[in-house]
Amino acid sequence: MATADMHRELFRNEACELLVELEHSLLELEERPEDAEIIGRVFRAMHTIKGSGAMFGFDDIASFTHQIETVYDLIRNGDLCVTSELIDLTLKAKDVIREMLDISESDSVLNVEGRQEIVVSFNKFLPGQQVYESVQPAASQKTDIKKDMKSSEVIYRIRFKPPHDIFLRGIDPVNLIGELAELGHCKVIAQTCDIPPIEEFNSDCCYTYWDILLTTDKGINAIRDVFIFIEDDAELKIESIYGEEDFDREGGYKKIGEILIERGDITPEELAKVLGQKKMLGEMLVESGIVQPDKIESALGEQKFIRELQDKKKGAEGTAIKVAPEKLDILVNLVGELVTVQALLSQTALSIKEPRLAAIAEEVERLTAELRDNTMNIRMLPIGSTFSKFKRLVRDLSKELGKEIEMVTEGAETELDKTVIDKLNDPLVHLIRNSIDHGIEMPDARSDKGKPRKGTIHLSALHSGANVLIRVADDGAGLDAAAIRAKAVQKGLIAADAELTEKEIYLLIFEPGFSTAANVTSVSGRGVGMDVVKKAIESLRGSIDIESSRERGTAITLKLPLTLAIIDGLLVRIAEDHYVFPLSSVNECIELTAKARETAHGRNLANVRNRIVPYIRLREHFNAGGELPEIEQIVITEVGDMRVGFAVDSVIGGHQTVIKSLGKYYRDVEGISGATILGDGTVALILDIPKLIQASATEEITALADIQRRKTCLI
Amino acid sequence: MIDFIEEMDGKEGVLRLGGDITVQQAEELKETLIRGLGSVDKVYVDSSKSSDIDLTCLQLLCAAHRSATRMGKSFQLAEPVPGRFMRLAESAGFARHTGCRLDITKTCIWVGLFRTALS
Repeated sequence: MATADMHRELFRNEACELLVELEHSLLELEERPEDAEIIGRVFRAMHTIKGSGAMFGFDDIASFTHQIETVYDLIRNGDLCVTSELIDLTLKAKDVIREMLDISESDSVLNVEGRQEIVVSFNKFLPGQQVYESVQPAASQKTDIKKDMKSSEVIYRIRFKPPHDIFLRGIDPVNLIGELAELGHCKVIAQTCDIPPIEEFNSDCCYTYWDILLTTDKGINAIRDVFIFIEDDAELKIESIYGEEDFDREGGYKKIGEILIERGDITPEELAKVLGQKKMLGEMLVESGIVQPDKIESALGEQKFIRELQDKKKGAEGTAIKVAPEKLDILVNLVGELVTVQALLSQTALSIKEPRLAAIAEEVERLTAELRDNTMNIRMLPIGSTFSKFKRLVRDLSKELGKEIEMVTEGAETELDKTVIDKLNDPLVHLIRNSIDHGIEMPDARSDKGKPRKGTIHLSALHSGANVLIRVADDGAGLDAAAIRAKAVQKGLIAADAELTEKEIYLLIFEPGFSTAANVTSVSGRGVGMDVVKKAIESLRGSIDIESSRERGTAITLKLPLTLAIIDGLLVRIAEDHYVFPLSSVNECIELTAKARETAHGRNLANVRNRIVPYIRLREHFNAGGELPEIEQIVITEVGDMRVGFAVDSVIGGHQTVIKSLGKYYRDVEGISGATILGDGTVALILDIPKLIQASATEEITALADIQRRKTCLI
Repeated sequence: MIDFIEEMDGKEGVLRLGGDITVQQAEELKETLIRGLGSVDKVYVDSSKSSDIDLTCLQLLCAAHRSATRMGKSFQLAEPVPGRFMRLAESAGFARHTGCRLDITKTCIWVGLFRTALS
């Protein structure tokens, strides 16, 4: 990638992050419109997008953001108030900037009218004289913005000694310093050493002079402009003391002696002389009468000012590095390969029975496990960033529907594999939309029921073993089991006389084409959303649980594996083939003897500590050839509330399973979710437990229906 | 309005600053300060009623403190110091950790004023 492209890409990434943060800040600002800290955050985000945008050639973004930044600058100065309308508009503007970023990537054409409309709306907030030009990228405008754009901030040391008669000229030097402070971050130290005792004091005289440290990106000319009317008579020294490159300076900032020499307050000879004594330099210099305490105070101030900046900068970027997600994917793949090779090594070492090789294999196994855990850890991200996106969704949708809804989140710090988080967005959007549209009632209806007018959507995440549970709960009307059942019968999803538990009825809402909403709204009701949720969660090897209570609300829990790349599995054998059970769904293993098989009279039921557990013989399911072994093993799994066994020929043991997806020809094979490569190079299929159970249940129902039909015919 | 009132049998005095104390009042303030320092050992400056203050006032108070130190007298700002006084002193860069060379008694009025703010 060319350097320019790389920088543009970096800007794009940075801007996307800033936009997420901006949205978050805007939603917070809506709750606390007076909070100066949040206003500052919004302003800074806009300011950075504008500045970096122009620097990397995104002139349209810079120009567009300029208008918004101006409005927020007015708010920051207390000249404008935050209104709901302004928040709406800024959120829209944020979406437009996002769109502009995406479009700059794909070279498509942007809806300029939409942008124009937003700019016009923002201009309405500006006082008359500040109406800005349109967003059409006129050449003159481009230059203007570039001029005011910051390449990087520089710290200037300014010594300003006004003429003694400055008051008589009608100028207050403190006002000039105030103007300087508007250019950036400022530290002002007054030098008062020339002030005489009161008896000798001339009331019209300015005795004070100043040392000022100013961090600004406006350039030296902007500083000179402040002093333009008195520059000829004042003593003005402006020097840039610290640029971007100085931040990396070894050993921190300059020593106090260096600063004083640079400023001309002492000479190097004087410093050398005083350094011969063994006291704090500042003290020594004052005692020796070379320098006034004011000067030391000022130099110390400079040292502190820069150190603070250095610390801030270190804090901001010293601890993290950014890595492209693709690079991480490659790393994870390589670790996967390594895990496979390591399994081969362990197996070989075991068969060769060479102690030295066995020791090496063990060491490699330990290191591989550590490497695997660490690599997986790098891909773990807190789910909070996804959560914060939904705040906006809840806000916009509830406004659109005239509902009052608050979203509460919990467990935002819960970590999940990046791939899982990425794929979780759509299902969560559907679930939340559904809660907003169907779950939570209109404010008046809620008041009538004695509920608070404002509904709550509770979004939470928590770790549970190798899984993460994500729960979307609302305090709305709850699901109507009778209505769902009636609809399912009408749609032919279940038989009219089917016996279903309440939970099974609720789960019908995830069936394709199911929707009980009388009207199709723009939000939901097309009957596709919940089906999408189910498919997406299943593709993530997750499961869905649903709880509901009339008038009290509904809670949908998604159970997701922590990672999609490597899982702990249980390796089993059926005839000559190997299969892997995800260990997270395995409960226990029991033996199934030929004798036990006989006593069950052909029914696939096992007695586990006096509890009957149905089992599926995988040998039959996969049409495996060969002899049925004398003793089979039943792997008992737990999916939701159900315990179901799977009869296999033998259980080999635990296996670190690097998940490989199946080729497109095998994508639709139900009951298999992927494959893994074993140590000896053979392939083992990874079983999709919920799908296997479902397929078996369907078979059973069809068989029962057949029997029923035959019986009817006979009668 | 600039007033000087003696208290405690002439041992202490309070300089009351009210309304605007800017370059226009500078000469009057100077005279009052000289008079005050000449008549009592301890001078308190009560700025609580002041409205607009400028740099000349800050310089004069600084000068008065210098004279007081030289004369072996005490010169202090009385609490409470109004917010705008603090803001002016801060923006004019008078906030500091240590006094000037003449502050041998370590009683610099600016150090005292910003002690809490700077710590």
